[in-house]
Amino acid sequence: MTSAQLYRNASTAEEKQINEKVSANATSMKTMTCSFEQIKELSFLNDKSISKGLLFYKKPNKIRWEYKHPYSYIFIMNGEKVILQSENNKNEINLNSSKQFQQISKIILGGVSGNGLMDSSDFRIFFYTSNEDYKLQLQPLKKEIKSLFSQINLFVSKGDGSINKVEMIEKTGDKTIIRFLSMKRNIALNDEVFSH
Amino acid sequence: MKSFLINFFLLFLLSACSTDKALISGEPLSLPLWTTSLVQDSVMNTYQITLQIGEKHMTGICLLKKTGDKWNGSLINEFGIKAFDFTSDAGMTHLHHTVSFLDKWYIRKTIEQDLHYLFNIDATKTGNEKKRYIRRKSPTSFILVNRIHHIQYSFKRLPETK
Repeated sequence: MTSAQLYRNASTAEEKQINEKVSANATSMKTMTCSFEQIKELSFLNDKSISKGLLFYKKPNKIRWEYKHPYSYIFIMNGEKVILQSENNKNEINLNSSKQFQQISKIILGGVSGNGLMDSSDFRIFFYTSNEDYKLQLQPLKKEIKSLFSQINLFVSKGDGSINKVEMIEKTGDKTIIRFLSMKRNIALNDEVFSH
Repeated sequence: MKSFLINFFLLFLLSACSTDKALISGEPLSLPLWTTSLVQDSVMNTYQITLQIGEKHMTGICLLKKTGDKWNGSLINEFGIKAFDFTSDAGMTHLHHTVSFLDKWYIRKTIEQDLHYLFNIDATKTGNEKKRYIRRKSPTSFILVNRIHHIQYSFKRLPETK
């Protein structure tokens, strides 16, 4: 699966099918763990930053984003709380109720689970299909999101409707690609995973 | 302007209320700040960055490349979304590709001046701490304080894993 593969516009019937698959997956997914690869293309530095790690998700709003390589860094979102951990340092903070931060949080949670993006009025969604997967192109409609992204692409498995790649394209042209690998759904995840 | 800086990080990085009122800690600089423990030449260096503006804390990642006396970098949040790029040398520090809500001249100017002080501290060796100062916390971490706008930048280099 690559972004270079050939996509065509989905028909209305296919759009409905894609919507149903993603929604069904989002509804049925209570927990998820996977490894991830995050590629940040930095046009300004003429370089790429490639990070790898583990991701844990628990519905509705818990994420543990654990970078393993090239550095060790844990970032946990647990409702209104965020925990940051690197080496022996741990920093626990409470989120402000910022509308704009909530937008980012919604996009990240939506990118992982599919929840809240498909039925969102924040985006105009274009549906594409290929032999391998579906591509959902999200064009921001709201000012807060437009100021960050020109486009967000979600790549959806034809099998179970899970999102296995997210591309976030910024206004500057910089791109962040996050691939979700070896996904395991609905396994038991203790709340402690999201507390330290 | 302080409110604009706060708004920036509310939108972009994560922010938090803090009860920690301490402003100054760490060792004053008697030796160069930018040792090889803190930055490697010509490669990507990664730092966890925390900002404190008033009582608010914010976090993000700073990616930095140093080539001789020239510094290039990007400030992004934990998910990779960029706030701005920057360049710095002995003469000038500039922000580039600044995200729109931060793209106000007075915000750019404050950050540019703070970064210019930071990246040129070893060359200028200024003892004047009236406006800004730096305190070393460890060989791989330090704090920069802007005394005028009460902004504290904490940098911690993230060591590469094997």
